[in-house]
Amino acid sequence: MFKERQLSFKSDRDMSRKILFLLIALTFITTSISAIDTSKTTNITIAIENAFSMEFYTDQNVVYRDIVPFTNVDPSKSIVYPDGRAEFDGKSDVGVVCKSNAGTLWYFKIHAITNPPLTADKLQYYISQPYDRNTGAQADGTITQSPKWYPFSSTPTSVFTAGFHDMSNLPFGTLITINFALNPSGLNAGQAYSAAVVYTMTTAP
Amino acid sequence: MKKLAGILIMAMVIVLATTSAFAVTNLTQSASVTIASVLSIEFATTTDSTFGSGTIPWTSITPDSTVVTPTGHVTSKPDIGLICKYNGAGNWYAKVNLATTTLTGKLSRYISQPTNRNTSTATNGTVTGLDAWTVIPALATTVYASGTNDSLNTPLGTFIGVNFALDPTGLATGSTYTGTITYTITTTP
Repeated sequence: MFKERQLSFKSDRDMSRKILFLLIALTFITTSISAIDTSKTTNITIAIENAFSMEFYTDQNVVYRDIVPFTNVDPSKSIVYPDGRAEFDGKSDVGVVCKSNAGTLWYFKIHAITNPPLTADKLQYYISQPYDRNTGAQADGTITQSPKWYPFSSTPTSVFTAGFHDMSNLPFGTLITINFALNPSGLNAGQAYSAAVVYTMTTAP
Repeated sequence: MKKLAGILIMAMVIVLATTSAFAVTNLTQSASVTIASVLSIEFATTTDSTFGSGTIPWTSITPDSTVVTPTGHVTSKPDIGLICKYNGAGNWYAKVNLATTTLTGKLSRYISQPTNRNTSTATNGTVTGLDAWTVIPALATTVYASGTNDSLNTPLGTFIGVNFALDPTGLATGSTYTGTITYTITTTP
């Protein structure tokens, strides 16, 4: 006969196998990116400076830029043109682009600085109606003199007054083309002469 | 003699009883997972963009051009970079607009094909006005619609590089202008 006895086991005895399954809870990091920001903004600042400038212009019909050469001039003639040029050849010697965003009236002036016996009046200029490079049409400003040959002055002389669209003509400006001629009478053969032609763009009449 | 025999028999019975069975127990635990919805937009740092999250300047412009890039613009990286992230269903859209009273129609953006930052490859989403200067409007307008390879793009998102240009014609000289560009990510087309 056996008496029943309460049997107890201690875990450290482990006389029988115990299998314990533990499912480790899955943890996802759900807070690293939160759907909060759906818009961002950027500030912009823009500062506009005054533009009032001149620059030389050349293309296939505007021949010279910094220097206009008269080489091997025949002193027996009363008028000669720069090298490679002829009257009514459809080209211009020099082009000057005037740009402004000031919205105010401006004037284009020219004069020559020479040394005797080459005097300013021996150099001549011819200016026709300028062009608005933004539209390709003629500018709405006014040339001071009708298109013909005029002798240079030794002091700045206005040859063009800006029109309404010339006063704010960015980005491409107003193109003024100038042709030159020389009266070589009184100049010595075998001598070289030089002169400076000065272009001025100004708001002063 | 009989007593001895009785004790011996009991001991044998006890031993047999303790080794006859193996105890097995199971313990289970439930796991619950919640994935947060992600729809976000952030600026790329100045490592990947010129201006980061800062102000974009056009300083001392002499306006003889119709396309003026910001002061400090470089060609090696975009002016700003947008990192857009989404982990939902369907497409997401990036939109841009300009709030201003004086610069309407003057500011343009240029966007090339974005990059999925998870794969470092080009996305197959649609850029409105791809690789072209496009005026930024006043109302939020879609500049990019996600594609099949970046609609779900977490964790790293889609990188959209944006360059800007200003048309200064008609702006008054000696003046300073300001505006605010807003970038939005949305699931609404």
